[in-house]
Amino acid sequence: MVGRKNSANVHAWVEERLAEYLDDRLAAAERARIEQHVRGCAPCRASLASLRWTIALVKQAPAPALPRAFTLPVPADAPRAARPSFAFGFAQFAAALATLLFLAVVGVDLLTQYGGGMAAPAPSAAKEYAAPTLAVAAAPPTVARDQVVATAPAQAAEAPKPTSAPKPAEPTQPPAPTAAPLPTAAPPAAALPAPTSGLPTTTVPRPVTISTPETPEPKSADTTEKARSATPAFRAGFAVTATATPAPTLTATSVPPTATPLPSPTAALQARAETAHAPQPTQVPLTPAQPLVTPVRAVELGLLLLAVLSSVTVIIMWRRR
Amino acid sequence: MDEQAFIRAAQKGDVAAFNQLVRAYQHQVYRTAYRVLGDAASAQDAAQDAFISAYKHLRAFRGGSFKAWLLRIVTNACYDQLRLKQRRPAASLDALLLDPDKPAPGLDRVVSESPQDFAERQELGATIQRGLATLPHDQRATIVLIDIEGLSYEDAADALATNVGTVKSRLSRGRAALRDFLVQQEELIPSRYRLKSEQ
Repeated sequence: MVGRKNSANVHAWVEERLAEYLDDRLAAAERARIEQHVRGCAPCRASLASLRWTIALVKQAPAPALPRAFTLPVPADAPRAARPSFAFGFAQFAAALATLLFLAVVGVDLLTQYGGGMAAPAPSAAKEYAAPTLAVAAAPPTVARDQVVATAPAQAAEAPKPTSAPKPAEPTQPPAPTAAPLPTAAPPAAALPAPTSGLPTTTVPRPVTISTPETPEPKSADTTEKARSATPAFRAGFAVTATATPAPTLTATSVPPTATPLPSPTAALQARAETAHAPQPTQVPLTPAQPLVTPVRAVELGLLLLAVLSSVTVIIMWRRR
Repeated sequence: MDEQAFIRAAQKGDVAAFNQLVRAYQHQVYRTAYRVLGDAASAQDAAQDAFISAYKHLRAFRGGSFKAWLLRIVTNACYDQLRLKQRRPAASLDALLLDPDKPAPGLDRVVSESPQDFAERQELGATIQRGLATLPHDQRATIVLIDIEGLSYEDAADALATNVGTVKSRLSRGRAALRDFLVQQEELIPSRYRLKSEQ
């Protein structure tokens, strides 16, 4: 009985390991033990042979024909998967750099102009940041003209003086120096007395029209006379200022005659009288002249051009890819 | 370009490179699916699902045997198909496989093979497929991966998400069961493939 049990256990043990034996995955000792048992055991030998036959048969089983290919559809823009070219990368880098530089320069420019100008209206600041005031001063002729026409068309139609805006105004003549709305304007005027004295009445009024409401003071006769006498003096004054500040004077002299037909001196003077107190414009001609295109502007324009060009290049290259 | 280069390119999204890998392995993948599932339509679905899944998860491949990695994916796809069939028994696997008059579909005929040899091979393939169909899924898949596709026990364990001990056990029992089936069906096996007795 014991012997039969042992032999049954051995058969089971061998049967369990035949698969590994056939695959040659057994240790040498186990392998030797199995071989020894199989030699003396017909059933186990038959089992081993049938298993070997089964495995061989399975391996011989013909493979089914491939019904179709299983490749994935390649997207039409497959080449896009390739790494971007050096030129494309460089164009991207250039565009980004130019844009950043442009923004940086513009930002600094704006900060120095408006941030500094508003924070420090002192005379020194006015001198330093002459460019913006100049730009503003250059504009007034048209603006002032429009406003004069709008407020007093009849008067403006006859306006005697071509006087562009930026004539040195004398703080004394205008009726209400006290009413002057811009306290900041006073210091520059004081700081630059020479031209103002030379050109007493001249052209002050125009730019001032903006602040008209508070200055209704009449002054009529007085101012008309002064206006008349001012014309020659005005021209002389222009000549004087022309030497000092070529650019603004040039524009000033050129603009007025065409743009503003001068009405009768009295009318003009009335208009001026209304707007009279002219401390504000006085500072304009005094500031040193600056060209329209400063080096900073040139840099800004250049960078803007570069940024736009490089961006366009990037877009074109992107579309081509 | 070697296989590793194709794998690296495919991992970066190069579909053309991945298709090179598909062409290299599609026979094995489809064969595995066919042996495990037993019918061509399900095998096609499983193979296609496997390749799509492989492409999606290619970044997760960390080296080793790419074939074993692919076969693991297709085995999982086969299990998905089997679960699908169990929910819809109308397309019964056994009904297809146990039809003795239905030959294994679409075998490739070797050029030098005579028509009789080709017919016998088809017969053998059909019988083996029926025998595999009698096995539980896990034993069937183990036999397919090791005896047909030639994976090691370790790779098979990895593909089947189990351990080597379980693989040994499934393989031993599965082979024994298949052997018993084939011995019983020996008269359906062409004579030249039959078991020659020792005596």
